Amino acid sequence: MMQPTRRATLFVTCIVDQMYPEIGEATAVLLQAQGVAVRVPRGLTCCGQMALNAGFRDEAYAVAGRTIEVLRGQGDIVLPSGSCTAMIRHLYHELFHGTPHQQAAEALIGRTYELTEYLVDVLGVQDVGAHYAARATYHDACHGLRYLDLSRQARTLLAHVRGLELVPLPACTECCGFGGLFAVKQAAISGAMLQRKLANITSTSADLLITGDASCMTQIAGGLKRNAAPVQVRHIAEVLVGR
Amino acid sequence: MTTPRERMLAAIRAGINTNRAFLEAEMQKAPHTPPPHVHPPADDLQAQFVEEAQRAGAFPYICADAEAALDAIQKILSEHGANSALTWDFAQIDLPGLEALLNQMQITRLDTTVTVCGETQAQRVAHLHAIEHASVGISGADLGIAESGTLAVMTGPGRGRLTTLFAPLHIAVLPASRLVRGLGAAFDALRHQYGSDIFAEHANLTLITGPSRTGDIEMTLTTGVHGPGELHIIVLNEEEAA
Amino acid sequence: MATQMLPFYDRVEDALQNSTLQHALERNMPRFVALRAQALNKLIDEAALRDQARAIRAKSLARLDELLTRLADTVEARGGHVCWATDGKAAGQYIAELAQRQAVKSIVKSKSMASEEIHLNAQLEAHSLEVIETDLGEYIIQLSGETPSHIIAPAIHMTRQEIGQLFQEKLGMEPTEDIPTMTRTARRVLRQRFVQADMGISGVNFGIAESGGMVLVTNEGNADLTTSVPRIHVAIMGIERVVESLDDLAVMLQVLARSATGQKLSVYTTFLSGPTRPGEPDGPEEFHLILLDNGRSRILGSAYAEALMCIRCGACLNACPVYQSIGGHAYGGVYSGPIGSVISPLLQPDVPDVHQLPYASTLCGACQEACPVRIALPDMLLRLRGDAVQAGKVAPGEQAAMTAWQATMNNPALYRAGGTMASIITRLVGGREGVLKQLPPPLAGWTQHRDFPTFAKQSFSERWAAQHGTDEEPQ
Repeated sequence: MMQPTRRATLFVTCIVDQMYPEIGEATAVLLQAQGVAVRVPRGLTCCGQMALNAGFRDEAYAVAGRTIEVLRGQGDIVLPSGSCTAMIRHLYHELFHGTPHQQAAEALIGRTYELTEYLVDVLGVQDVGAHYAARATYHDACHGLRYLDLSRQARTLLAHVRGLELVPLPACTECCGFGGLFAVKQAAISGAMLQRKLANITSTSADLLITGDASCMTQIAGGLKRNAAPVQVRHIAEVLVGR
Repeated sequence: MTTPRERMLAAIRAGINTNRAFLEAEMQKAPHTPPPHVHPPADDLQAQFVEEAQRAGAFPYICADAEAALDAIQKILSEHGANSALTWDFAQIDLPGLEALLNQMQITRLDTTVTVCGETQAQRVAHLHAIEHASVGISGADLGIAESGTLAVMTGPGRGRLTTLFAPLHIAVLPASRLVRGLGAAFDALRHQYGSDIFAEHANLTLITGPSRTGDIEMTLTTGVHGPGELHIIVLNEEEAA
Repeated sequence: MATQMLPFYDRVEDALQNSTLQHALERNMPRFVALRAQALNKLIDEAALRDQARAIRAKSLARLDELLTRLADTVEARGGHVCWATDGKAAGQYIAELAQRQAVKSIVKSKSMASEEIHLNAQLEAHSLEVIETDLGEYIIQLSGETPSHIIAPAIHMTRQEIGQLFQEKLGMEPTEDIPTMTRTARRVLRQRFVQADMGISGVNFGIAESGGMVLVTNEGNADLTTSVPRIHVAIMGIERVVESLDDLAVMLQVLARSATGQKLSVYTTFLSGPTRPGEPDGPEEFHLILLDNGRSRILGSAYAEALMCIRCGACLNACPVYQSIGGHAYGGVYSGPIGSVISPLLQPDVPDVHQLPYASTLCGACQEACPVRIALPDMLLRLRGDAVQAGKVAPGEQAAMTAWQATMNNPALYRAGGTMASIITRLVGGREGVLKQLPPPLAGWTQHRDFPTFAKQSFSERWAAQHGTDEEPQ
């Protein structure tokens, strides 16, 4: 491994932490392979998005406020999630405006990055040297796409993965229907949106669906499994470490 | 006691005061001057107008002189079996010989006067009934907007609104010298012609882009739902002959 | 019972079960989206034009008092009358009294969202006045007794067969499935309505302060007939629709039709400044402008002021995957889609379950991306959810769950314990297959449509701590 030249703090997000630890590990491996010394602060839990999304501002404020304190002075923060990164970069402004956390929030916003953005735009990496034999298609997760302008970064990285055939996904920028508690509270609409996404995925005859957010993965993989569709679902970090 | 006007304005001012910083910051983020045109400029304004008018479903004709224009109109009128017409005053249409053509074709010119102040509703309805079966409306046009294939039509004395609207067929005569590139340029040209307040003397301006159309049934395009189902534009380009 | 009166979840279920609607949405929404994208892509600088449009809308709001005053004064100077209507009732009252004073018998109307917002037709019908909608889509749904399902395509939820049947029954048309025949039938019937009408009521797309000009945009030409055939023209304008000048308008018109239908300009863009002038052969003898507030000044002073920048193009509806799934009626009010979810709670608070509308979104942002003036709709939907919670409009048990969530997330020990418990339970239930087929309420909705994964045996943070040791635990 290269001598570390940079330091970054990895915030894997609550859903990866509890349900997809392998994504967190893949992210750490990816960063370390690029010479980044990775630190994971003990006690990091959640960005608060679920509560804010449901309208529970006070609860979101309490949880996000603590997260800001945990991340204070921790250098660059990298998340394997466009959605949680967008929560911090886009929604923390309003959530903490005029509060005691405002200054720390603004500082955090300025040094928080989504994984593919950090690799491509900050570290200038295009090829992480990965091998992955599959016919794959890519779903653009909404918040990364629209609040962080993510799209090109993942495609650049995937284009350099040996053995990977990337085929376009029709309506790749259309929401999968997850939307946090939306998937439960508006289950019927969410289900209809998911069916459209699944139809588009199967139309590509890809055997692998790649995306950059564990929440979309949960929705899409759950639907594919229910429909017994022979398509695997992976987070981009996993593909980039060849898992 | 306050009037509704005062009450509403007071409520609006209170609202503005709450959000003034946000609104003023947003309004200063971009210039407000309209671009004269929004598409890449075409070399040939006339060709662009023709292409765009066709795209909008209109039938444009390039005519090198009045004679060619009258020929084109005669052909359209006979193909449609036109026998009655709503027209602007001939002085308002830049095509000498039009009146003679209509006379020669025995097309009746209907009286386009509908609004006579002091008349009853029944009298107004009678005027409308008298023109409701007109075969064609023939008008001039103030401008042609090349990048959208649009006609700008200012109505007024001698230039009825219903002439461009009421009949199933509309023929408009447009001198090629009146072509402009885009909408911003069109408003500049109108201000040049009618003064800085273009509505000081005129109550009605219509921008017409193609024939009347609807997609309200299964999004299937159908023309002529209320206005003319066919729009023919006679572009008179006398320089082209020279 | 009309769909609109049902509780929100029933409206959604109705929409999802309606195969005609589903077919129409599937067929038409992608077309709207593609046409809009093509139209905007061809511009020299789409981004700059949209920035301009947004700045101009912001100016209209920042100087709304001044611009409305100017507009009203100019209209009056040109011989028009102006009514300042604080609410829908005041607007309806004014028109009804005007109609009675002028012995109006028949009214034709061109499409106007503001008039639908205040249920103007019902108000006038209560005064025994007959109001005929003249936009073809609006006319169809008026005949069938429904409400519009889309801002610019009101009858998009009906098939040609349904419309043919309706025309047979109501207009005596011969049986046909031919759309041009139906259109001709409507033209013939409505033309007589125009000729007979003594009053025309229109909406206003933009009002130009400097010249008192009302701008109306249609493809059919029905607004032109509505405003020039009858003796009296009444225009209803939401106060936010004012622009300062012809120059401002030149920018707004460039984005309106492109965003709505993908046209460069709609077929008819009509400017009207006061009643007919001396010497004109036609046009209305009287012109009345109704400036409608109905909650707008309150919105202007709220966290939702930006919603007043809306120019009602419908682009956010077409782009919204939720709208694409359920169509317009499920929203319950006149305004549907993302913009409807924002303004219905503010403008039509009597819509059943209106506080639920802001939750009918994944906050995916497709609406803001499509909006020609880039209204931050997702941010406002989020704020409205916060307001609903603050007002106590939460589902039973939700507050308790959120309190527990906060306690768990803010206490690493509890968070770890909770994760371990979830892991044990989900893996126990999920078994070898590793997925959950059925979750208990309130999470049951999830497993109606998809499986749920089990929690990991050991969380990432536990694994990391095991491999790299633990730092001091921050609190």
